[in-house]
Amino acid sequence: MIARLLWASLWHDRRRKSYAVLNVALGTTLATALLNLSLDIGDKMNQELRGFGANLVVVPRSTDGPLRLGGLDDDPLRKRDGIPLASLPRIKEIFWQHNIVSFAPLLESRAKTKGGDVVTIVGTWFDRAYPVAADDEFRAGIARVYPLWPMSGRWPDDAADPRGTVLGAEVARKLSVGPGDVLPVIPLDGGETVNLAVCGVVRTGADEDERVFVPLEVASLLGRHDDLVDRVLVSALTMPDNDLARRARHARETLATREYDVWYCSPFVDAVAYQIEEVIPGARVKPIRQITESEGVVIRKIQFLMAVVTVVALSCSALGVFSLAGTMIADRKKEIGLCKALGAGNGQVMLMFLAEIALAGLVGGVLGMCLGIGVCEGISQKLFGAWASVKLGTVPVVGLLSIVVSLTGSLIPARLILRVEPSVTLSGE
Amino acid sequence: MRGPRSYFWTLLSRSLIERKARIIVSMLTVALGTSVVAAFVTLYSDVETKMSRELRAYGANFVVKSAAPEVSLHDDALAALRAVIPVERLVGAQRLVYGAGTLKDVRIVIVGIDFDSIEATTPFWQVASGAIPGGAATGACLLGKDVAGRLRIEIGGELAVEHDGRAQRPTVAAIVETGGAEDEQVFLPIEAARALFARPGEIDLLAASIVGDVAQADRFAREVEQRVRRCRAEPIRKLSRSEGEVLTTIGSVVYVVVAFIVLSTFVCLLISLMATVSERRKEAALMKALGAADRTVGVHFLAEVMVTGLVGGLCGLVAGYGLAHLMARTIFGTAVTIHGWLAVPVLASSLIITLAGAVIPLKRVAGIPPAMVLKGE
Repeated sequence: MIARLLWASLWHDRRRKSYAVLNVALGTTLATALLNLSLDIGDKMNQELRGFGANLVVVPRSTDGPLRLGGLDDDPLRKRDGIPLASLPRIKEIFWQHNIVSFAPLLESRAKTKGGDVVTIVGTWFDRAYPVAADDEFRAGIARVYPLWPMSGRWPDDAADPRGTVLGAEVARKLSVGPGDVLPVIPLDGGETVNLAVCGVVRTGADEDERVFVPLEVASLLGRHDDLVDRVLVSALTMPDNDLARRARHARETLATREYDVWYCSPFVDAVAYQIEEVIPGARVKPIRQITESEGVVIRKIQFLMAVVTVVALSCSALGVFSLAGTMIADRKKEIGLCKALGAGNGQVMLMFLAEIALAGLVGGVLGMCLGIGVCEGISQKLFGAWASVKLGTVPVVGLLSIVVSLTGSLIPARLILRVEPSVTLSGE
Repeated sequence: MRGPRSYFWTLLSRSLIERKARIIVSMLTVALGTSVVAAFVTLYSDVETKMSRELRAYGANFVVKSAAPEVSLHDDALAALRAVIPVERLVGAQRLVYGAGTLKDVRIVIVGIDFDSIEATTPFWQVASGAIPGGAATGACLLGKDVAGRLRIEIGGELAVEHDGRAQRPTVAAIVETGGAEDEQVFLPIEAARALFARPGEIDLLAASIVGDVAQADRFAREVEQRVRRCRAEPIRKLSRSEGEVLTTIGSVVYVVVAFIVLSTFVCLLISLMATVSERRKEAALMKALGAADRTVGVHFLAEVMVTGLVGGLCGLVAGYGLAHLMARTIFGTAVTIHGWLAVPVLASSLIITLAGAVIPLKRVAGIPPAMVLKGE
């Protein structure tokens, strides 16, 4: 009987019902899209924030680091410890290997120009194919670590330009050379002159403006010849610190075994640093707090922003259903009065009414969910040029939500049913 | 005899008063939609400014140094910086003076710094232990984590820092960690460092954290250079550039999300209004049966809808600003900037939607002969 009534009511009042279905569908679309987007936004923004550059630096453990005054090494030729070049592929072999975006080795030395000016030379990789076990397509180099450095000219290609050089803006200004020029430099200990082919000039506003970036091989011609580098800059995708990460940072030994496992298996910046230390003996990996701390602040803010927006949008769509259900009931007083006059109890009428709403909620919910996933993917493609990873966990959540929203949205108006007096309603207004 | 004009008003006011419950529901619907739209549009117009302030977590993005190695900056450079950059754009500024010295017979970089400026200018500094003392503190110092580790120095210990035969004996107040050059340095209050280096009033580097894009920062730089002789002022471009990129992305995320919310709110609003209006087909039919022309019926309903839309829209606007304020408070902890002019497009669009929500169902009524409608379903 109820099923027949339900069908009849749905069929005969298609237009009104389709309003309800549409309303719920829109709300669910909103919910699905926003929920998936806000779950994904942290990862996506994390990738965007990698534009700020390296967040980890690998240095030799034993070094009593160079004394830098105003950014300049006071004794560049002093014998120092280094990181063996051969150990670099291991950075891509740690537990969080897929989170390592790129890395670049740095080797500092000094050289003289023809005019007798002493310049600081930094040997590095610019952008070179560096196939590792985990990733054949992997590319390493400073152009990958700092994709957003303001640059005039271009980054040299490691394979094509064996003498390709990037000048800091201050050096370029002092020596008045620019992209396309050749800059001859002489090693401090008086070796053979090396002709550098300037490809680009970089202006960061910081220390880099005073540097000459050359391929690592060129730097070892000018400086030391062993296969060691001073530092390795690593750009890794990490997760903002939480309480566990903070406790691990200050007192890792106090963590229980389980907590330690959780910490070790989460991409916290300190955990990634720790894992790199494990694979490169004699190295110390320091998080660059300027980058890591700020990343946490920014990502948390954006996640929070999205969460608040999602909650507000959701409650609004619930209120929308609420007002629609109110209209629908008031509209059908006569029908309800008739049902009651024919002997239906309040419970039965209510059940029938709620079943109708729940059905509308279900249909609208399924529709909205499909639409929402589409919208979420569309937004993600448009903004980040990548697919959003749709979390399957959101499907039951949103499904339940759409039914709960339409039911709670109708419960208060449904209480109007209790107040319908058959005789009054049926006798006319 | 009442004129047609007064008849119109009587009909309108009667219709509004007699059906107040339903009218209130409609108004609420409109108010709800408008408030969502107003809130999100307001939030959007403000979000980039707010986020650019959050991005100042990356620390100093503007530096002033001397143009030639043989001259130093003086305290007037800080005054010039404060004069050029409006106070709401200047998050923090820091005077730095550098010198080489020895600590326990190890050569080390000694930095004079305003302790008070650290939190605002370089908020990413991590205090590994101890606490950074206030600016008035004399006889205190901060120690980079690597130096502290290497020389096995603990908090509260007294150091002997030497430079050029002069010495100071500060106590270690905190051990700091940044992952950068600071880990290898020792920090003294700027006056103490100046005394140690015998360089009263001098500054090597002025680092500031400012809110604004590269173009603005460049303008500030030119102005500072004009005011201070032989100085070079420059934004740290690698930060500004990345900041610009991130802000653009955040801006477009919020733009797309807000546009999407606003659009679906409008559609919901339209649907709800269509549902409330279509129930009044009978009324419209009755009016027509009593001899009203289609036009009269239309004008009556439109007037009613206008009142609903206007009142609902106004309430929604106020509520929306409240909601925007609340959201800004929870997310950013600061008040939202309310742009008065936004009220015009928001109100206009809510009116248009209300009208559209009424016109579509009523238009269908106009085509139906009254007898059919009045007879029953």
